Amino acid sequence: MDLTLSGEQRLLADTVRDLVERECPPDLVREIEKSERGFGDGHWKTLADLGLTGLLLPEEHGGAGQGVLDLVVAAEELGRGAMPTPLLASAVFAAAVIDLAGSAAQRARWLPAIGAGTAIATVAVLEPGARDEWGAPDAALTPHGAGHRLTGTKILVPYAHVADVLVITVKVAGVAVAGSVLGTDASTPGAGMSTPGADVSTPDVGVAAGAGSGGGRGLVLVDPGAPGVTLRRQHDGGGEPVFEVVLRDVEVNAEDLLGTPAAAGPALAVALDRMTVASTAYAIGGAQRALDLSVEHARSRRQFGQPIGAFQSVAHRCVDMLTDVEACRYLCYQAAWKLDAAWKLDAAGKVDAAGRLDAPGAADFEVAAAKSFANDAIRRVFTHAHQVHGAIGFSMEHDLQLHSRRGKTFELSYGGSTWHRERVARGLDL
Amino acid sequence: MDFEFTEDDRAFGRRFAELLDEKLPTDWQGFFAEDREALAFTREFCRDLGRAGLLTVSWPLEYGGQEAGVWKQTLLRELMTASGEPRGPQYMNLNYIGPLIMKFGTAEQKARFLPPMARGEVIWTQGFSEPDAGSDLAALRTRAVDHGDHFLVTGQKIWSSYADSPADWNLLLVRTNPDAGRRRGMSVLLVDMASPGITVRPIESMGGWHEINEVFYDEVRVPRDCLLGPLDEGWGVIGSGLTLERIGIPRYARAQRVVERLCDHVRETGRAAEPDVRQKLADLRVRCEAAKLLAYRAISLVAAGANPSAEASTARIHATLLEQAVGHVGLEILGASGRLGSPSEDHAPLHGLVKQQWVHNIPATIGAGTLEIQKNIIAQTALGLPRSR
Repeated sequence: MDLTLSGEQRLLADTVRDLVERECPPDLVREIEKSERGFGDGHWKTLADLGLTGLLLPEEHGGAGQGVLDLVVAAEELGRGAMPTPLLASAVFAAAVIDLAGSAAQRARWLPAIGAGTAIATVAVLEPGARDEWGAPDAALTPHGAGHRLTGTKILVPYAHVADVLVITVKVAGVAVAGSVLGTDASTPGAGMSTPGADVSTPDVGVAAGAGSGGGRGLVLVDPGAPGVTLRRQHDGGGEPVFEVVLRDVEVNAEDLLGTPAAAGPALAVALDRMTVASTAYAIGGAQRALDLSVEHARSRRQFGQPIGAFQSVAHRCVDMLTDVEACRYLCYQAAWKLDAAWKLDAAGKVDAAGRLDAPGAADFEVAAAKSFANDAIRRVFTHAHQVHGAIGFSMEHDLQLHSRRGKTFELSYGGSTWHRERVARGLDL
Repeated sequence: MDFEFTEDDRAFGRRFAELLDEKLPTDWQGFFAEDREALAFTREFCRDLGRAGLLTVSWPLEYGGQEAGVWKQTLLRELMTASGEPRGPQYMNLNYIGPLIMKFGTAEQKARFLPPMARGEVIWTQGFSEPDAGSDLAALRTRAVDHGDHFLVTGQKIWSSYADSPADWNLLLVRTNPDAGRRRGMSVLLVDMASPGITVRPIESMGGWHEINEVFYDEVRVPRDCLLGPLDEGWGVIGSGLTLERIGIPRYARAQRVVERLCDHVRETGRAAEPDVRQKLADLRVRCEAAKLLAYRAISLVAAGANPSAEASTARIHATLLEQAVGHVGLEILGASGRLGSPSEDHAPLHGLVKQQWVHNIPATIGAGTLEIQKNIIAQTALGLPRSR
């Protein structure tokens, strides 16, 4: 037991922090947010040169084979600078899905390029009305001739406009799949909110799902330039370019199917956990920045003849922010550590995807604890930050809004507090 | 960074858990339950643990420890606290009184005071607060007049825990130099509670039997060799002790034990499927985890040789608010029958465990520095905000 960062982790954090401060000042973030491209190509090259795009990827595919714990240390610093970057969408989420579900050929095709930053991949999972990423997709894959056709609509797909490949969750007609370990096929009809877990004790949900619903979940790779794929920019205020992806009779060949339907659920579940933890770290960086801005403001802003930080009501709000940020940080570190411990590489440093999917729920408690706590805590942090700042914090001229917009997006992504607390409750055998 | 105990540490924890199962009376409700008999048991239990070398496992061999490391000590503390503190008042010896003597004491003081703590033979109380010096501790007036080879102490302390257990010794903060300014001129004395001139008046509390007291000092003679640390510099000594005290009690472990018992209860009473109950219990369990990790972070820093003041306060804020939340939310889950909170009451759910949790944690955000004082410490030391009132 030792809850201090290693020398290497501190060095990584310092390196990324310096880089973000130097190359990604808030005014540039504002400019990037207004641009078509939505991220800085220079930043992307810098992150790739630093090795962040390949950090998590297996060494056999040119990656560094490092852990999620190393990634979160870096991600927090990116979040502190509100840097718009496809790093998490591509090198964490999409790369994990391809790594865990993909064939040898698919992994060899995509992982080295994603790791080098020469290719960008993104996962399209949310659909209109969805409340979380674990729900069963409606986008349908149907047999057509020798291959398949894909039809459906995905929303809030990050960086789809620059993606070399889209990883798309689909319903596979006629393929019966038993509920995956995490029960990711279970859904509440009409509610758009999935239930965490196959054996949920709540009687009215999660029953008519999985095998009984007449379809399984699959993952396919789609070229965003393929006929039948239409992208439309959406605006969620989260600081990243997101897209509606409409798929109309898109041709899907055998080599585009990503893993077997039986592997898709667990692979997606593990990849989602990694993405959840990485995005939590990014959000913690933003919350830390909101705290720093609030403290600066409380020290310099004078009213009634003294700095407002000399008023205990203001000072204690700042402290409440700090205690929340610290709790989020250590819950996040623990979740990252647990993800690494649960899916260690074997002795030869080789990745055994099948082996790592034996227990996709191994970090359930730690991930759900981190995300459920962070959702609520980060909301509290930004509420305090805006109150400490007064009117100026509501202005687009002030930097606080860069982070508070991202904070709300984070809270609504990768499972809300209620969803993750239900996951914790299952772990308590409730 | 590593979130796992070594197998050696875990094995130690398992052995100690078995020992607790074996030693604790079957109807053990915890030291803080309304049962004065529990105090007699804690004395016997501490002597047993002392003989087995388990009271102060992390201490150096020469003072009766096993040099077993901070994490074994942490696991042991967690099990003690979760089990309702079978050590009784003597947890304080390990938590901060012993470490303060180890840090500031002379060789003679260490040899004299530490081994009896390790043997489980001595109860300490403390004298910090006064009727007019609570959060404003530096306003204290209890005076120790320097007479060369001894001090004469006159004044009044309040909220002295376990003074009527009875306590054998007292860690007492006094003013030795009234002209040196508020925070200067204070000293720490180690006072034999059998000294003439000391009167203990128990204060009846909402928690039942007398755990808090007023203590009056009337020209109490304290030999000079009982001065702990430098004369007139007691403020720094106490500050260092309070950091240790704030992380010494693993309150999250007790909170987690109560949450686990609540989970058992809702399962047994068929309420585990209620979405609201599931959400509430899951939230409390997550908060236990947050409080534990923040304590482990502070302990990691102590283990690395630091004195993590703001980090200790951060851990304490989470732990104390959690303990209160477990009482409040737990009682809300139990509903009307939760009103029956005494272990001796028939029909008291979980033998009154949750109601006890509520009442004993009303002062959780008051002792060892109020919640507001903890926040002031963080505001000034970690955030660099101006002093505020």
